Amino acid sequence: MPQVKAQWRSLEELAQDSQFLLRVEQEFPGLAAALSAPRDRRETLTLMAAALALAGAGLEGCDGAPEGHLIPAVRQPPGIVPGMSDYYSNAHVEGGYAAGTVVKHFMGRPIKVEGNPFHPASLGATSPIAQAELLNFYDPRRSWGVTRAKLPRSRAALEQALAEQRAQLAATGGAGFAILTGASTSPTLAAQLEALRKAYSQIRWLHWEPIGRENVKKGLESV
Amino acid sequence: MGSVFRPAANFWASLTLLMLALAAVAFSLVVWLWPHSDYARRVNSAPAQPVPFSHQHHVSGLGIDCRYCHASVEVSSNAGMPPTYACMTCHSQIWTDAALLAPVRDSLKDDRPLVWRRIADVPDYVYFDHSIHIAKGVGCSSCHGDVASMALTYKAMSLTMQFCLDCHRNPGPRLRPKDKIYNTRWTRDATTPAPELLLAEYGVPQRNLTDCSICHR
Ligand code: HEC
Ligand code: HEC
Ligand code: HEC
Ligand code: HEC
Ligand code: HEC
Repeated sequence: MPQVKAQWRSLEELAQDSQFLLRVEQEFPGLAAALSAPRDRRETLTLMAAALALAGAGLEGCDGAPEGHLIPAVRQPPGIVPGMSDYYSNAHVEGGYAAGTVVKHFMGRPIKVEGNPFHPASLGATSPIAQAELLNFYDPRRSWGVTRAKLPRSRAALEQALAEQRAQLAATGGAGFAILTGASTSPTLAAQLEALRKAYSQIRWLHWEPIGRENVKKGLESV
Repeated sequence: MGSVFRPAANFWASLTLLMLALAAVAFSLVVWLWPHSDYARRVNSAPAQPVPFSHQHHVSGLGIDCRYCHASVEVSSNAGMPPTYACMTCHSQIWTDAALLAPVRDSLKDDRPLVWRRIADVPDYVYFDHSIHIAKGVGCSSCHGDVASMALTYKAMSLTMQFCLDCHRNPGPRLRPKDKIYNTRWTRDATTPAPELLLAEYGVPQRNLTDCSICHR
């Protein structure tokens, strides 16, 4: 499986690229001095945003004709029209509860998350967190396969590692072993965890949500 | 003691200065004009493609419609390119072991797309949409030339901003009847309805098609 490259660079990252800085220096002499002056980095970047955008993002395009490639599909996937956006339905899980969403995508690349009007928990609306789900799709740290120590591993290696873990669990009865999850309302997952707990009595299951519903619950109780 | 410079030196000095001035002007002209020259814009040049595909054979010879291969040209901004599978519907029957077609067969076999070099291209900061042009009576050849006669596809028009504006200033005379859109040899003749009639028929609005925001959004 190919390593996914980071999809975009922030201006901050760009500002640390030495080659890029060299080009900016040629275009805007004196920038280096401004950057090294005792001013906080954010302020400098704010001041320089326009210049960085101009130098980094182009205006190089104005000379000559652009060059590129056309890469058609081997077999046209049904329903995909090149150059047109399309939708698929999805679900967004928050605090263990799923709400239906509709994701707009441009030839397979998601570009907008909206609520699914036919889903009772959404009725066409979304939470801000569901909206921000879009960033997750392009997170360079998003899992793209089996890895260990950041290196890709085969499925066989995963199975072997799990077998070793199982032997160890059997020896200790699960002592010192914890499973960490987010909030979940899935009966299947609950049954699986219960089965694990039966087999290894010492195992611990911890769950945590960065934005949980505890306060909602407390609030409702105190009314 | 004689003078250091002979009288002719005056002449040479002014000539040199004049030449320098001329060279400076010529240099700026070249720098200014070069990017817009046909050569820099690769007009009339056919780039090497993975397969020497001939529109002449397939369109004029076999009579295949543009939309068989460029299927989304009427509905999308993008004209669309034929999937390998579309070539193989015929080439699994004819010319099945021609060496020329090996990349096409391999593409289907290995599930790897063909990679064509682009010929018509506008920079990303230009918004372009095929569907509106087709819907409003602009034919393929207005922007791509006589593709149906090309043994190898080449760029026939410069596709500079000037080129687009030339038509956007006054599209009427370049519009054609619906049934001529895909005819790349079409030219205006006595049977063609008047520009005003075509403008009215297609409902091209009297808005300003040269506004920057039409193409730079
Ligand atoms: C049998 C399939 C087929 C048919 C029919 C066909 N084309 Fe193509 N077309 C291709 C392929 C393959 C390419 C890419 C190779 C090339 O550039 O020659 C292409 C490339 C092009 C390009 C250049 C695109 C670019 O920017 O690289 C244009 C323009 C074009 N076709 C126009 C037409 C027009 C107009 C018609 C109808 C008169 C037509 N085509 C009919 C297969 C087809
Ligand atoms: C409708 C059937 C049909 C389709 C679809 C088709 N071809 Fe062909 N192709 C032919 C025929 C017939 C010939 C032989 C032409 C001749 O020699 O007169 C040919 C010849 C060729 C040749 C040999 C060179 C030439 O033009 O004579 C190439 C290369 C080629 N095709 C590529 C392609 C590619 C690439 C596609 C897909 C974009 C494609 N063809 C789609 C029927 C087709
Ligand atoms: C008004 C001008 C214009 C007309 C009319 C036009 N094209 Fe294009 N075509 C372009 C431009 C500009 C591009 C480059 C688009 C880009 O860079 O994104 C292009 C690109 C293409 C491509 C490459 C794929 C793509 O969409 O980028 C094909 C294939 C193509 N045209 C086929 C056709 C066919 C077939 C017709 C007639 C039905 C047609 N074009 C009519 C201007 C035109
Ligand atoms: C032969 C004439 C012709 C040429 C050449 C031409 N156009 Fe157009 N263009 C039109 C017509 C006619 C319309 C339709 C106007 C309408 O009815 O809204 C149009 C509409 C457009 C629109 C859509 C406006 C909208 O609001 O949807 C864009 C964008 C555009 N053209 C870009 C381009 C670009 C970029 C080029 C150069 C690559 C180009 N055109 C070349 C005739 C032309
Ligand atoms: C009909 C479409 C169209 C309209 C309207 C249009 N442009 Fe452009 N513009 C283009 C195209 C196409 C290019 C790219 C030319 C190329 O490939 O170099 C371009 C390129 C440019 C460039 C890059 C430098 C260059 O000259 O190549 C600038 C700057 C620009 N346009 C400014 C403008 C401004 C300002 C307006 C309004 C007065 C405007 N454009 C209106 C189509 C258009």
